[in-house]
Amino acid sequence: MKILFVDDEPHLLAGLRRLTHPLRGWSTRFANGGPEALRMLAEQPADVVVTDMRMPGMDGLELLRAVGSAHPGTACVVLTGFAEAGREAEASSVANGWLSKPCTLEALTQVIERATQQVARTTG
Amino acid sequence: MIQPDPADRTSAPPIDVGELRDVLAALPVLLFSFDAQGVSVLSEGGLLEPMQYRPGETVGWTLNDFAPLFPDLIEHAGRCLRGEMFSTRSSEADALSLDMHWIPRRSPDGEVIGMIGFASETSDTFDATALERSHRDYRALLSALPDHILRLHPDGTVLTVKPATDPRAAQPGPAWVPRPIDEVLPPDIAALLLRAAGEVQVSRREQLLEYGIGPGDAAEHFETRVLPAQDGQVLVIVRDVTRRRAEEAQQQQSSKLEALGRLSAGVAHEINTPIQFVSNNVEFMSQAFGSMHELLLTYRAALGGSDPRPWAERAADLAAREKELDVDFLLGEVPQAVEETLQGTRRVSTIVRAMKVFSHPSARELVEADINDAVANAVVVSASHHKLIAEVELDLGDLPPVLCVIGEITQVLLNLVINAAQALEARGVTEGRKGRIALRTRQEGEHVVVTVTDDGIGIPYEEQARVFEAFYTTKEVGVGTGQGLSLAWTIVVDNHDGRLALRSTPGVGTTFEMCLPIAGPARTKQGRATPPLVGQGRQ
Repeated sequence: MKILFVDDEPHLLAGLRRLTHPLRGWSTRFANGGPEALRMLAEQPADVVVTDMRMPGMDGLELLRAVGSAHPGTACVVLTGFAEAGREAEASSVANGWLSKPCTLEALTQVIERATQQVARTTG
Repeated sequence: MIQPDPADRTSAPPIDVGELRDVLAALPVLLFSFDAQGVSVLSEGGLLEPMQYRPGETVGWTLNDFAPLFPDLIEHAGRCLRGEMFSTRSSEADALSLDMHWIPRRSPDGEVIGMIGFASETSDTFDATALERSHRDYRALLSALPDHILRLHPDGTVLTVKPATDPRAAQPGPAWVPRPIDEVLPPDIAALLLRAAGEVQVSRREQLLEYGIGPGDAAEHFETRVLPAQDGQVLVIVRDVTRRRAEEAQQQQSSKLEALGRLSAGVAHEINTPIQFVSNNVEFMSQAFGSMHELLLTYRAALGGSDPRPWAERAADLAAREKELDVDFLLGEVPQAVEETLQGTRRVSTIVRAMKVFSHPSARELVEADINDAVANAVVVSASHHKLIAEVELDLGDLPPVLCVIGEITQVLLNLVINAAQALEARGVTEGRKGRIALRTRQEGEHVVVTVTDDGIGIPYEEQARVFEAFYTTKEVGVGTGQGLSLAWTIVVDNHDGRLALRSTPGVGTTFEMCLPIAGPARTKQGRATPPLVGQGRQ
C-alpha cells in the first residue's frame, strides 16, 4: 500500500516515518505541504493521502479537492489537531476517513484500511 | 457745590413727606404698615390707584376693616406681628398678582412694634396654577429618580434628603436631618465626600466619586456626583451602581469565556500536533526498546557458552538477527526521536504555561507583573491565529514591574494580537507575502506603553470612533461578538486608569496603543475621585 503523509510540521512527519517504518507492505512518502504533495502524486500515484487541515498556503481542504479531481482512486484521510466548524463539515464530505491528533498507529492503520476499502468499492 | 461736613453724616436732612409720597405713587409698588395693635399707619404706592384707593386713604383702619376686602390680610399681618418674616404671592386684588413681603418692625431692644408690608407686581405671564403644577411635576420627577439626593450645609450637616426609589439601597432618610454627614455615613466615605465638597466649593465644578461600602463581594457600589449649590451648600447625588457593577462583571466574565472558547480551538491545535509526534515517537521508542531487548537476549545466549555451535556460525546468526530487527535504523533514529520528543514536550509546556494566566478568571487582585512576559504569553497562546499568516516582531524594552491585574492585561494583549491577525486575514495574505504584527514595549515616565501594529486591512475612518463600543463588530457571525475591544477598554481605562488609543489608515494598517500607570490604578481601597469627563485630566 502506497501512502502519502502531508503536514507542515516536519517533526510530525518524522514521528510517522519512524513509527510506520517496520510495517511490511507499506510504502510511505512524506510532503511538507499541499503543492509538494500534488507534485509527488503526479510523479507516482498513492493509494491513500493522509493530510493535516491547517497548513500555510494550500490548506487540507484545498488539497483534498485537488486530489479528488486529479486522482479519484486515491483515498483521503484527514489527521487534524482541531477541526474548525464549517471547514470540518466541508472536509468530511470530501474525505474518506477522519482522525484526531493525537492518534495511535493502530487507529491510523484501521482508518487507512477502511478508507481504501471504501474507495475501492466506489471506484469498482 | 459745598461738600458736606463728614461730622454731619449722622444727621440726615429731614424728608419732604409730600415729595416721598409722589415718588412712591410713581412706583408700581404697594407699601403699608400696621402698628402692634393692627392699626394701619401707612398706605402708599402706585399700585393703590388700580385698586381704587388714594395714598394714605386707609390710614387709621384696623385689620378687621380690611377683612371683607382682603381676607388673607389678617392671617399674614398677624403672623408678621408675631415676629415672622415671610413672602407670599397672591392675585387677590382684581387683575393684580402681587409678590408680597411681610417684615416685622422691631424696637432697638428687639420687641415687635409693628409690621411693614411691601408688594410689587409679578410678571404678567405668571400663572400660579401652572407654577404649582410644575412644582408638583418637579417633585414627582425628583422622587422618581433612582438616586439619593442630599443637600449639605458648608459645615457638612445634612440639610435635606431625597431617598432613592430603590429600597434595597442603604437608605438615607429624615433621620439624617440635621446631622453631620460623618455621623450617618462610614467615616472614610464621609471624609471622601467632605473633601470633594470642599473642592467643589472652591472650584464650583462637579466632582465624580466612586466607592464601595461593605466588605469584598458583598460591597454596595456607589457613583456619586457632588455639585455646587447656593450659599456654599453642595448637592450630593448618590447612585447605587451595585447591580450595574455586577452585570458588568458578569458580561466581562462571559466575553472572557467566549474568548477562551475561541482560543481553546486554536490552542488545541497547537498542542495536539506536538502531542501527536511525541506519542508517535514514544510508541516508536517502545518498539525499538523491545527489539533491542530481544537482540540483547540473543547476544547473551550467544556469549553464554551453552550454545554448542562454532563462533562463526553464531556471529552470522547474530548479524542476521540484527538485520531482521533493523538495528542500524533504530540506532540512527532513536537519538533523533528522543530529541524531538523533548522538543515537543517543551513546546506543549510553553503553551500551557502561557495559558495558566487565564485559568484563574476570578483572580482580580493587583500584582506587580512583567508586561513583557504578558506580551510573550499572548503571542504564544494566539499562535494558531497568526503563525500561518504573519511574521511576529517583538521589540521589548526594559520595563519596571507594573501593578495590575495581569490576567486582564494579558487578555487585552491577546485580543489585540488576534485582532491584528484577523485584520491581516481580511487583507488576504499569501504564503509568499506574510503579514506583519509588531509588538513593542517601552517605558514613558510613569507609564508603560505597549503598541500592537499590523499591516492589515485597517479600519475605515468613519468607524474608528466606534471600535471600543460594546457589540461593535465588522466580523462575520461566529468570528466574534464585538466584545473584545470594549472589554479591553473596560479593563485598561476603567479598571487600570490607563489609556487605550488607536491609529489606523485603511488599506495600510492599524496600531493600538495601551498605556498603563506603573504604580497601578489611582483607585484607593474605598474610593477614587475621577474627573467628570472621560479622559480629562489624565495623561
